[in-house]
Amino acid sequence: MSSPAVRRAPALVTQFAVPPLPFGMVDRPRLTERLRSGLSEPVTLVCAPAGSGKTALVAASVERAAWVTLEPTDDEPGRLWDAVLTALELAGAVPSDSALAGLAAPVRESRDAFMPLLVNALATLPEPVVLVLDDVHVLRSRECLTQLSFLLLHTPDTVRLVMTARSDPPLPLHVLRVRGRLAEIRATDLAFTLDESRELLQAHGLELHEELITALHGRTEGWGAGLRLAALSLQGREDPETFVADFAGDDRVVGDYLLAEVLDRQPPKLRAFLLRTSLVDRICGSLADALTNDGHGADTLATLERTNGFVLGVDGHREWFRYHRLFAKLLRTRAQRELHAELPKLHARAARWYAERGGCVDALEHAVLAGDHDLAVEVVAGHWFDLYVHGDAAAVRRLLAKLPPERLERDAELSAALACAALDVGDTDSAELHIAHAEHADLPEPRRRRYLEAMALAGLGTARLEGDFDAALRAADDLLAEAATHTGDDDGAREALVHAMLGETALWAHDLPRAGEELRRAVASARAHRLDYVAVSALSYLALHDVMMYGPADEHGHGRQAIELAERRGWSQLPQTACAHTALALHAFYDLQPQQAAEHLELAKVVARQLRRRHLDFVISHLDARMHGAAGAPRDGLRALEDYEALNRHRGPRLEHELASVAAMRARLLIQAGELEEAAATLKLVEDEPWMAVGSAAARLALAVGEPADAVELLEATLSHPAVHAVTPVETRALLAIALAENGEPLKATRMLEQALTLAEANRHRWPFLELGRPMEELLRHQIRAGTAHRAIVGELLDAFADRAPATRHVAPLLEPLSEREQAILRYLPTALSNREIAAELFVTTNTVKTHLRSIYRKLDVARRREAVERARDLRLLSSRR
Amino acid sequence: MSLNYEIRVRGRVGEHLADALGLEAETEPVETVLRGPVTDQEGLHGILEHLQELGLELVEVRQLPRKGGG
Repeated sequence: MSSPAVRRAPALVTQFAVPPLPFGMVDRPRLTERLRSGLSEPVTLVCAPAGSGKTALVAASVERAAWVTLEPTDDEPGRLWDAVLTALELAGAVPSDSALAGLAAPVRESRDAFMPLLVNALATLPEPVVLVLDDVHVLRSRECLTQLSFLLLHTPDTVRLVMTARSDPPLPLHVLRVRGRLAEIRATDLAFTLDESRELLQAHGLELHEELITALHGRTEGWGAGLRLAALSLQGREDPETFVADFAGDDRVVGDYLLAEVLDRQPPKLRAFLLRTSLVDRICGSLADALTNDGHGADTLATLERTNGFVLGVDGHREWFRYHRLFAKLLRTRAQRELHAELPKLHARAARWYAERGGCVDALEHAVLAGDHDLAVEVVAGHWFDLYVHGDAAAVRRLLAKLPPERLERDAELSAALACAALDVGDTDSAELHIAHAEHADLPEPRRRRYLEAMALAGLGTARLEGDFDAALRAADDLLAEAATHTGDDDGAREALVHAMLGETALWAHDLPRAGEELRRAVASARAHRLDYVAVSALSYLALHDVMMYGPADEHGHGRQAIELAERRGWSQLPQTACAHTALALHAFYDLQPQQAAEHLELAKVVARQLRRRHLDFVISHLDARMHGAAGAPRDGLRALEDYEALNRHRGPRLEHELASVAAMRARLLIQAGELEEAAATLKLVEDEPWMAVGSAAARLALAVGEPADAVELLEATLSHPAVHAVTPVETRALLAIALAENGEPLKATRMLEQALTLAEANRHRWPFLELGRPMEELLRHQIRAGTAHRAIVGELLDAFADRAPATRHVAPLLEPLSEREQAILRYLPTALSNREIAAELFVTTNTVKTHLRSIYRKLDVARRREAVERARDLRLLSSRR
Repeated sequence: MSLNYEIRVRGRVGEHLADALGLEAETEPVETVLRGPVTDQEGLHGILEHLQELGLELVEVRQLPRKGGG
C-alpha cells in the first residue's frame, strides 16, 4: 500500500480534507440541488471569480468525496497524481485489493503509461466516488493539462469529477458540452440573491433594515466575499446605517474598501496577528506563534474560525487553518505596505519553522523570500536526498534554480547534489562543472559525511555514463570509508541508494560477487524504507547478476519481482526495467524457451532505447546476435552486432571485455555463415585478449577447417581464462569434448564431457550441448554407457535432442561448411568403398580419413555414414561441386 | 525590454495595491487606471491574476505606444 505519509511531511497533509463549512455559511438549496443533480454527468465545472463561494458550495453539496485542494506546487504530474491517489485513498474509496492501491504517481518516463492505467484502475472501483479538484486554475503546465484532459474525456462511470476554477481552464470542455457530459455552475449562478444576502447577514448575527440589505446587495452585486466582508465590518457596529451609506456612496473597489474597514476595526493585536500570519498559505497555532512571537496562536485561530468566515479550518480537527484566498491576498497586499521592513525577518521565521518539520518546499520558498541564502542552502542540503531517492531529481534542480548560482558554487554538498541531479538526466558536462565546485568549496564538519556520500554517488553516476567502472568503484569505496569516520545520521534511504549504485557499478566492472552483495543489501534497505523506485532498479540489476552468475538455475525471480513492482506502480516504461527484461530474456533463452526469450528481448530493447546506456545495449545486442545464430540466421546476428557498434562508436568507452566478446560472437556467426577467412581475421584482432570466449571461438574455427588437434590445444589453453558469463565454461568444455573425440582421444573426451555436465548440473545450462548437434548426442549416449554421474541431465538432454531431431534433420542448414578435403571424402560415402580404400584413393592414412569423417558427421549433424549420405543429398552437397 | 501597459479596473483602488504591482495608479470617477512597465507576457498574466485574486473587475488592458516613435 502506498502511504501518503511517506512522501509528505505528516503535519502538512492538509490538502485532502473536505473543507469544513465556514462560519456564517447559509444554505443555498437552489445551488446545492443543482450541483447534486449535475453529478449525473461525469464532469462538473464550477467557474467563478475569487470569493464567489465555489469551494463552500461544493463542500456543502457532496457528502463524501476524494478532495484535493490544488496548490501552485501541484502543477507537476508527479505531485498532481500523487495528490489525487492520496485523496482517493484517504476517502476510503480504494479497497486494498484494487489496482489503484498499488498504483503510484508517474515518475518521468512512465508518464505516458500512467493515465490509461489510472482510468482503468478507477473503472474497477466497487463504489462510485466523487473526485473534487479544487482550484484547477493553478494547473498550467502542458503535461498536467494534457493528462487531466485524458481523464476528462475518459471518465469512467465509477467517477464523478468536480472541478472549481476562477476562469475556464484550457481543457476540452467544448467536447464534453457537445456530448452533454458537462454540468456547469458559473458566476451569475453563484451570485447571492437578495433573499440569500439577507440570510447571510442574519447568519452573522445582523438584523438590518430591508433598505440596508438592498443597498449592500446592490453595491456588492451579490458577490459572496463582499457580503461577508461587509458583515464582518458591521458586527458590533452601532450605526449600520452610516456604514452602509458610506460604503454605497464610495467608488472604491469592494474588497479593498471592506478589508480596510474590517482591519481597522480589529484590536491592534489581532490586526497585527492577521497581517503577519497572512504570509503563509496555511497556518497552525505553532506556526502562528513563530510568526507573532506570541503564545496564543491556537486560541486566536480557533476564535477567528468561529467568528470570521474568512478563516477556514482545513483538517477537521481544528489544528490547521487557512485564510480565504481573497482575504489572504488582501491582507498580504496590506502587509507588504505596513510591515515592509519586517517582512524578511518574518519569512525567515516561517522558513525555519517549516525546515524543522520537514516541509522542504515551503521552507525553501520562504527562505528565498527572506533573501536568506544561507538558510535556503541549509534547507536544500538537508532535503535534496529525500527528493532524489524518490525519483524526483527534477524537483531538486527546480528548487536549486531559485538560488543564485554563485551561492551554490560555494557549498560543496549542494554542488555534489547538483552533480547527481545532472547525471540523472545524462548531463555529464554540467555534472563535471558541479563536481569541480564540490571539490573546491568549503564545508562545515557536521555535513562532511553527507557530502562524501554525495560525492561517491556522483562518481558512480559518472561511471554509469562514461565507463571506467573499476576506478569509480575504488574511488567510491575510498569516499565512503572516509564518510564512515565522520559522525552523521544513519539514513536508510541514503544507504539503499548507495548500495544500489555500488552494486550496479560492480556488475559492470565485472565483480559479480560484490555486485550481488551490494544489490541484495540495496533491495533489503529499499524495501524497509518503501523506496520502490530504488527497489525496482536494484532488483533489475540483481536479476542480470543472477543469470550471469548462476545461469538459468536461478530460482530467485528477481527480474520478475522488478517488473511486477514496476507494473503495480504504473512504471512499466521505467528504463531500469530494461535490465530485468534482458535478464529474463537470457534466462528464457538458456532455459530453452526461445519464444519467451524473444518477447523479453523485444521489451528490453524498447525500454533501453530511452536509457541509452552503452553497456546495457551491449548485453542486449550480444544476446540478440546469439539468438539469431541459434535460430539459424547468422547474418541477422552479424547485423545486430554491426548496428550496435555503429550506434555506439562515439558513446563512451567499452566494458573491458566488450571487444573480446563482440569479436568472439562475430567469429562464431561468420563460421556459421561459412565466412571462414573473415572469421579468422576477426579473431586475429583480439588474439591477445585473455577471455575464454575468444579461445573458444578460435577453436570453433580450427574445427571448421578440419584441425581438431589445434582446437584441442586452443581450448585446453583457454580454460584458465576468465569468462564473463556462467555459460562460457560449459560451452568451452562441451566443445573441448567434441574436439577431443574428433581428434581420436575418446577417453579424454569422456572426462571433459563429465566436467561440462558437472557444471551444467549446477547451473542448468543445456543449450551449449544441444548447439553441438548429433555428435554431441552420440557422445552423450556413449557417456551413459561409460557410466556418468549425471544420468538425469544426460537423459534430459537426449530427450531434448529427440524433440529437436525432425526440425534439424530436414530444415536446418549446414552448421558449418565442409572443408575442401571433407568434400572430397564426402563424395566417396555413397560408394561401397571402405575407409581404408578411400584412404588409398586419396593418398592419406586411414586415421586421417576417420578424423575427417567425424568432422563431416558433426557438421552434417549426423551419427552414421548412411545418415550422412541422406543429409548430404537433402542439402544437395553431392549433386554438384560448388 | 519591458513595455508599458495600461490596465483599467472598475472601482477605485488604494495606492498600496499599485505599489505591490509596481505600477502607477490614477483614479478616475468610477475606474482606476494602472500604468507601468511590464517585462513580458508572463509578467502581464501575473498582474492580471493578482487583480483577479483580489476580486477586481477588469475593464481594459492596453499596450501603450513606445515613447519617441513619430
